[in-house]
Amino acid sequence: MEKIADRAQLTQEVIELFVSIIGFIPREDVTRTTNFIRDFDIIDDDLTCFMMQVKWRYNLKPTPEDWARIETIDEVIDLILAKN
Amino acid sequence: MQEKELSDAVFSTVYELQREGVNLGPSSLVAFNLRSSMMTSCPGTLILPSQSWTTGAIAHEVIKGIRTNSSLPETTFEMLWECTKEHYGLSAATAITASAGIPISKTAVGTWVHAGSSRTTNLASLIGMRFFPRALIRHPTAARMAKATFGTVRVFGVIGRGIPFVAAGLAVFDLVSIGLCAYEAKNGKDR
Repeated sequence: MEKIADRAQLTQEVIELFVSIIGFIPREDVTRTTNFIRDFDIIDDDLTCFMMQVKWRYNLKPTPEDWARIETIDEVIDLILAKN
Repeated sequence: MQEKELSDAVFSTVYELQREGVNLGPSSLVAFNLRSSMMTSCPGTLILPSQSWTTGAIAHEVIKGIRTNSSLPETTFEMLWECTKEHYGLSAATAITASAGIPISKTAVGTWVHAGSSRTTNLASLIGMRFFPRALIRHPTAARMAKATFGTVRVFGVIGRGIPFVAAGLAVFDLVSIGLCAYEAKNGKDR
């Protein structure tokens, strides 16, 4: 139960982070299933900035393979939970 | 969400960089550049590597933005350039411009790389990602223009699209102004 609560809280945090960095996407348009590669017209630099903030905030050390398969908020959460 | 007026974003960027040991010149010059850009409204001023830059020699020249309904004397730009040379020093401007735009392998510096995304970034983008991830262009017109022209409303996102052709210390607002020119040219003046 605690893990589920952690995941829900983490999801909110990551979504807030995503919205605050990209800057032009309304919060209500983003869910845990949002595919940030395909769902919005976001330039590469902004996506990189978001992912780097995730990396630094949660002390992640993802491999290139980890990076390559992440496309959704849920997958970001999986990466964070897996590395912690 | 940390949103800032453009001038606030510019100055916080300058101060943050100063604290990190990157000196972009005196605040008075930045203020002058901002006022100049705001006064002229649309045209932008770029400091570009001159043609000799491609052969290894580093030099710069000022490229003036195009405008169609100018009511201000052209000397605005000459003053800007003279002020730039005086306060920045050509060597400082050279170093900033040259180093900020050098392509850096994303893999080498551990940044996110996804299939289809660019394999390189640049120093200006890295500085923005690390220190100013939420420095956003808040002014509605400028933000709309920046999104339409550059695809981003992040201040350093805009800079990253312009480097290596724009000196980071000068061009935060100027580049937005240039984008506004491009936006208006494409979409009409009265939007």
